[in-house]
Amino acid sequence: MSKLNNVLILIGSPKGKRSASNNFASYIENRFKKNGVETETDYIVHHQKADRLQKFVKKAFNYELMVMVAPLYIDSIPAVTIKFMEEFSSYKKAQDINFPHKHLKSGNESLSETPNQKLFVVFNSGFPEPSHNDLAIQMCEIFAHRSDMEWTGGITIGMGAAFQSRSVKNAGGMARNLRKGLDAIVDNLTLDEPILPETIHTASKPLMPLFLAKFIMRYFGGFMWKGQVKDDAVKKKMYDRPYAE
Amino acid sequence: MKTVILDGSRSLESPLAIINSKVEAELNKRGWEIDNIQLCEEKIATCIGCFGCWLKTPGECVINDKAREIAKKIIQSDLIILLNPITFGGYSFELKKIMDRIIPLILPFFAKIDGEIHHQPRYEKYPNIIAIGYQSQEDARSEETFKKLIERNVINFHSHNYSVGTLTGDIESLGLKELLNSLIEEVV
Repeated sequence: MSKLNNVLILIGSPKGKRSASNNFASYIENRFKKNGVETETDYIVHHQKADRLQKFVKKAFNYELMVMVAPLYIDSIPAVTIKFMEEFSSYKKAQDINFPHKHLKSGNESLSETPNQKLFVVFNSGFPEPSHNDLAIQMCEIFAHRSDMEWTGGITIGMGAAFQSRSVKNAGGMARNLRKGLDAIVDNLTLDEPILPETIHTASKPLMPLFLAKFIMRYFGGFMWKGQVKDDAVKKKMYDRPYAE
Repeated sequence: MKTVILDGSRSLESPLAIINSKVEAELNKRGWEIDNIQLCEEKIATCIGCFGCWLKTPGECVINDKAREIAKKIIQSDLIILLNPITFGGYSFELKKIMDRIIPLILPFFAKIDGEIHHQPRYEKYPNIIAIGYQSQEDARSEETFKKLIERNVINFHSHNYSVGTLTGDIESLGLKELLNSLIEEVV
């Protein structure tokens, strides 16, 4: 039986619905729904204007658990997602200053603290090594502490581009560990159980042996990029240096 | 020495304003050419993750705003100085906006660096980096994360040399001049 009433799944990719992050989020959402948890998914990129962002931040406080799914941008968190985190943390601090006892159930002498909102995160990068995402995970942990949230952990995914147009469910054997890890994590969160380091490790395993993934990216990654260029004239300019002095 | 200062303060009244003016004064003494950019004063869009800067207009972002001009200044400089209110161990929104927008300066293609996969450089030479992070209260974890972030960015940005320092507390009482001189000496 679920001990978790509701979860907000936040997609932190600037690409919104067209992102690999959205595909990871969909898998997580389906598992929570299967477990009977009320689930809502939203896109940070849709709430960039100041007034919309404020409303969105207020809304985000209404969920017992927040799951943030985002891509790695320059070794860390995309700017749009940082903006949300800055606003969320500031709003939380302002609330704590204005209503210092709001965490306490009112009414009688047996005051007890209501549980803090929880945070779990998923980061993915295009590089084969999931460890590129480690710093982003650390930053989210610091964010959780600063925002008085309970940090439940985070997983790192390499070769995230493989999920750009493919669901996690239909990604075959390469996503086996990811599915196994995510299923266990969602079940742990549903039952308010701690997530074991082994589970985080399983979900964060490289999608294929790293030596092979590195070889493929290094020697065939160029064909992949060139294959995405539709204009032959642009293909010839891919190494251009427009700002060379 | 062509230097670009990228100030990631959230407002012009932030504690970093004092750091910024002291850094500029110190560089002026050395006779360096300085471009001091207050990012919160500039209209810069966030990266939309389209890869157009690699696949449509190679080397230049498809969004035509101030970020293009800043990217050009960065690659044509010898040194960039990042001034950052440490935010959860990383960059502030203002500074991260521009960091996300300078990927046109590298290539989409991959290379192995110290056993890890990274992107290849687009240019022959990249500026060195000095990063100064500020936080109002002591937080060793944030400080350590920020230093690691700069170290990682330097690998991806193909800079030859870098230095990073952090400051905590009352700006006026901090030994900024000494810190700055030691950071410069490490890099130049």
